[in-house]
Amino acid sequence: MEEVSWKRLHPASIWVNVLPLTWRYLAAFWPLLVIALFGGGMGLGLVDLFLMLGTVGAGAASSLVHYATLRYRVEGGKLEIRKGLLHREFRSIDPERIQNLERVRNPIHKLAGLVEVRLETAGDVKTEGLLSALSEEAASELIGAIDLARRQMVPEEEPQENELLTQGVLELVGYGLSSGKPGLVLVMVLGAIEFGEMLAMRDHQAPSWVSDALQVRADDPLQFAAALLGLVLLAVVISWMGSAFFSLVRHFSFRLVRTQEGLYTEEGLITRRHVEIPTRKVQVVMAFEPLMRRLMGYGTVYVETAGLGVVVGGARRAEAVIPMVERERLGAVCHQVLPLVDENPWSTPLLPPHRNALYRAVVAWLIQWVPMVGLLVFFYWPWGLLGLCILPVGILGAWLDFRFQGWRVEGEAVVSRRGFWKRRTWLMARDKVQSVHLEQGPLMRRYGLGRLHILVADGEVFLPDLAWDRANDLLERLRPLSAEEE
Amino acid sequence: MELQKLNPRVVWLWRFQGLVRVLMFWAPVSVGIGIGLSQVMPGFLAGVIAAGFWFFQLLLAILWPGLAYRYFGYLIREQDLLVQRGVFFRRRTSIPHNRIQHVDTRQGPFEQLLGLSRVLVFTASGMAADGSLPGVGHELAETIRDDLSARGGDDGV
Repeated sequence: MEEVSWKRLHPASIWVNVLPLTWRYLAAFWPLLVIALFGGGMGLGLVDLFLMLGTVGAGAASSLVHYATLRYRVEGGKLEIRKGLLHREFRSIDPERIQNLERVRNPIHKLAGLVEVRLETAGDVKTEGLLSALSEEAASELIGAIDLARRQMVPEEEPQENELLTQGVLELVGYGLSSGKPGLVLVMVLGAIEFGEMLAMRDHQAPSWVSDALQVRADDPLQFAAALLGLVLLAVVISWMGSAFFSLVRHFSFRLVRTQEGLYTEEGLITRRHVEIPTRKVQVVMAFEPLMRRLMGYGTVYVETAGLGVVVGGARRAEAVIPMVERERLGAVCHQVLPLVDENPWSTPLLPPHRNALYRAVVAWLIQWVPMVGLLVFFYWPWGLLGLCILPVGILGAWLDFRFQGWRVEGEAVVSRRGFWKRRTWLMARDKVQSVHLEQGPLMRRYGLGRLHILVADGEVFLPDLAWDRANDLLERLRPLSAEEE
Repeated sequence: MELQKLNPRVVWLWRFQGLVRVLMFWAPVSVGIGIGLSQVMPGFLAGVIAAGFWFFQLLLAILWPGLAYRYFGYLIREQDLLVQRGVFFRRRTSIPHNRIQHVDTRQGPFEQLLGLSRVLVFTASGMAADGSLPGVGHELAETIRDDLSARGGDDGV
């Protein structure tokens, strides 16, 4: 059999990759650069210049080496990638192990007419940036070859596509508005003010304009409360506007399409992202319905496979996010993503947790918060008495959480629901279970309860608190069937 | 359902490990606590509290392993490995044989001294072991490892 020749990246990858690779060096050495550029007030000295040029030069050199040494091909049913000059690397990927395929086009790719192909396998976190600049034809050819290796047959006809969902601008703005984090923004605003004050004090200057604007008399509680309320409102508005904007940029022109193999999503204004997910690789589907989104009549669906993607700041859990799904369609969309699971927890009532779960939740909450409230009252008397309001609010929260929890294990389907303010519903197929853990703390033992924790590849599902015997019985039943049992 | 017990020598292993922790970690922490408290109360009282704290850790290191041994059990069943552990916080784990990716045996210096091994069972669920048997006789550990490794199947990924 004739050996398949190695292919290389597009020559334009040399300049396409310079910026991301330089950015990678900047991210790695940023403390050094900050110290060099801003430390000591000496301006851009020789050392600073050397550091800057060195960083850009290293990025350019890496890009050149990346282009010169990276080769790929699909040979013998495997995708093979080799690269490296001094440190040589050879990677052979079984297409069956690929969890999802992405085509990514950032603005530089668009300018050069190129595309990056990202592959994610279970547990592999280093695929990003490898096949970083291919022509559209080369990318299609590669994905076609991988598909062919997956199926081991040439498709006789064009695959059928069925568009399941699109998102309009208003829906995406609604998604952004309901995912703002006012608390975080408020903390950041307060932190910035504090930082400004510290700088002003260090330089023996008058308080900053921020402080001037918010200057209130400490002995006037009304003025103080009004200023605090103003800050909270400002934080909420900033948070909403920011998240609506970022939601639009990230999910612009979103499409969810069903194909013969599975699903793909397309989205993005600046960087266009195309993610293919074979449905047999889906581990868990989670529908997220925070209160505000629920009031709008929508929920968000997260699709998790065993592939861990890397994003700035950590690992990305969900491979695909379907931002806004109408409540009536949540069950149908989840069924499209997980065909094995035909339970619809939005139309069929779920089983409740054990009634003692409420007592346990309330007692656990009190154990956690009563000492905190006690300290608050002790140190901030008499204002600390306001902390007592936390107790009934917490008890109400525990009751609401308990009231809306639910679960069901039926045939292949495992369904769990928790939370009132941030309601989450997990759906998974029993044949994805990796291990099952039954947990019981002292309080749970007092109330005769047990909690099941189900692990799948790179994901997990908790069932609500159940009677100990029932939880034990489920521990036995949740095991996936062996080949003989099937 | 009668669970298998670990090798009784594991109690001594855990005591050794606990005593090392008490000397290397809790002793300096207790000194720190004593110095900190002496800033806000009489030195003698601060010393007594710090010494009491350290003594409590010492007692835990000696007594806790016996309790942990009592509540630890495992069973290799036809379709899965069942592991149970925990004194206050109990945990029962079922790892189906067909999900096992690989099984490791490990021996630290204390374990070598006592002729024990740890058996770690991994599935595709993450980087950490889903189940571990911390104190099994070395030969038995190797038998368990080989037995469990040989039973692989569809990994569900």
